[in-house]
Amino acid sequence: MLDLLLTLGVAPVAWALLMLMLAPTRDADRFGAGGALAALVGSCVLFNRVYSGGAVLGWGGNLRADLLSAGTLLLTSTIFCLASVYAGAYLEAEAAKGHLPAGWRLFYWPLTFLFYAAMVWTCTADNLGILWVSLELTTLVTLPLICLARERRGLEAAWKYFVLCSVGIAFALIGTIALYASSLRIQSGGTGSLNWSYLLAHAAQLDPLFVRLAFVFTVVGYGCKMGLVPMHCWLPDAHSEAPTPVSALLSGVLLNCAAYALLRVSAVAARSMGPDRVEPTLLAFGLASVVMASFFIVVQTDLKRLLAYSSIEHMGIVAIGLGLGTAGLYGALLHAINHAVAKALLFLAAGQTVHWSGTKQIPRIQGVLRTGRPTGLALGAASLAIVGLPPFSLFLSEFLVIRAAFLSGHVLAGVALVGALGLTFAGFMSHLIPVLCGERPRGLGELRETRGATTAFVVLGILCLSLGLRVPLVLDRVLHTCIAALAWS
Amino acid sequence: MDTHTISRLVELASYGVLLVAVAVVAQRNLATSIRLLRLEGFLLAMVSAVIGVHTHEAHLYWVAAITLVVKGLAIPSFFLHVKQRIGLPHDAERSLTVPLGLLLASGLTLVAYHVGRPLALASPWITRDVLASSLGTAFIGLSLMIVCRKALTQMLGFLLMEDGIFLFGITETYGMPLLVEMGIFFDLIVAAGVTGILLLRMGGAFGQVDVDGLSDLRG
Repeated sequence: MLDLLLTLGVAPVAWALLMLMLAPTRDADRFGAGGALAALVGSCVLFNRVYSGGAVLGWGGNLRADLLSAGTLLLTSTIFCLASVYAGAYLEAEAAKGHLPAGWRLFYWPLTFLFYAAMVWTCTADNLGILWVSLELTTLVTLPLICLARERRGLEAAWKYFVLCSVGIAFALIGTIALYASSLRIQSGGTGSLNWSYLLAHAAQLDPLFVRLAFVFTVVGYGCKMGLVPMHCWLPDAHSEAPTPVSALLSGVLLNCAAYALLRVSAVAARSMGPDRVEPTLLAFGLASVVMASFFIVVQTDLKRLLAYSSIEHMGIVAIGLGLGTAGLYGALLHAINHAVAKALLFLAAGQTVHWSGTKQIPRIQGVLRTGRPTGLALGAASLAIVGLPPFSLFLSEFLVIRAAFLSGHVLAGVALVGALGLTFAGFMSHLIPVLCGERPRGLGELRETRGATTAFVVLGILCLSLGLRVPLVLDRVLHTCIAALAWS
Repeated sequence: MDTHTISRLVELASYGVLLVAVAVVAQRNLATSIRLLRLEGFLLAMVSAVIGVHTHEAHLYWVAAITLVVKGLAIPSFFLHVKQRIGLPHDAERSLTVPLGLLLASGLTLVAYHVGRPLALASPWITRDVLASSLGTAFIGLSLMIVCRKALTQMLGFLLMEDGIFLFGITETYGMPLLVEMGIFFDLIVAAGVTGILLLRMGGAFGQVDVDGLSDLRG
């Protein structure tokens, strides 16, 4: 039988090679979007199989997809597909303005497919070593994408990204090695394994000293990749200097992949050492992120950096949810999904806005809503969604996390979270109301988005809205199954 | 070789690795630092081979061979080449003075000993004494990456950190699964390639490879 997981991982690599050959032609855009669509279909097939038949294994047991993996992969593929639909015409227009080199396709398409492949491997790896290797690969593959514009700022951002993320990910490698060492020291003659399924099943027998070492190093390592404060310094640069579709992928899905990795290791650690030793650490990192990010959001003047800081804030909320243990897991997972959708929409809309106004400086962008174009509508809706206003989806998940904080007795954490969210709301709105509703400056041309951009806006907008009205029954069941499988306490 | 000899050999090599890390901090000549890294690659290859003798696992010999080629030969040569292409002056200035750097390195080694002590005490493994020097090497590399403002020196720090982690892995687990080991080498090679190109481009775009010049992005 066809090894579905291996196929899903290898096909994007093959497609990247194909794109390398096609890159000089304009057809590359169509093939890129088509390939991304095929990847989405593949993820749907996998999700369906896992949903109806339980975990799927592949490549001699090195790959495994349970509902959490398949769900993360489905979300990744959805955003990747929409970003690819958006990318072609948008980047072509950017290149026409001289912001990108004419040969951007040669870099963009092969590298994004490799980037996507690395994320597929991250989501579907059972072996935590393979997971680490893939997550490190995402850093390396996105380096050239971030400095695609060949500007000084892009190079600076890329170098900072490399230095800080390598330090972080090296910590995670130490953690991964320590986990393997802990499994080698199982009393009853452990043969050692890096598979999270094995580690989770034998969590009680793992060497506790090594598990503690592993957890500390992994939180710092994957937390760095996830943008948690104080390891976040690279994130605003990298996410704001990258070309827009890449920003959407970095913020929307790569952060989730890092959170996924952290969740896998945390689950093993919580099972092995008891949740009490795991949760406070996650909670502290999460709170630090939310509070710090909210201050930076207030003083920000660069539109894309504003969105990047908002990503730090939302990853903080996810970490808080994880840190609340069983009470907060549901909210955390839901929040990760909602944030991915809303942030992708926001980045894509902001990209069109910046392209139209020719600047990222917030005070100089005005009246996007008055252009009467879908971009204005998308930017407005996504902004309302990202600050957590109903009826959009983030309201629901933020509410769930806050409720979990108060119900589980973390009153101070809950108060701090509410305060930071209030500050974020005020900061975001004070920046974006003039951008949306201000007087439209003269001398700017018409805002024209392409069909691809409009499609992406509509799909993401519908997703954002429909998840907000109520949690769909299927999703509800999936989340509950995922939480049960994590076996947190 | 009996167990005692193996244990001594591995321990000796691990001190060598730590010493190289300190030497990289202690002197300013970039070319010498890169050559020191080559020596470190040889030491690591030896450690893997010796542990392979101890555990009778063939895959450790493969790891030793690849370490020799990648860490001992290919990567140092590549960075020597990059350094020449950029045409840096011979003495790389550091934002850290040598005495301060040495103080930092010894402090980090102490931290590593502190972290590693409970693990080493509880371990019945013959390589347990290596834990502190491997983590110490990784920490020193890390501090070079964070404290230094020269891109090429940061790269040196990255390679030191990789070496320290490699030593940690090989002595605490007697080799990760071969597949994972291959993946880590693959990542290392890609990282060296990508950053080498990035360094060359930074040299072209800024006329210097100095992170102090990189200060447009703030706040």
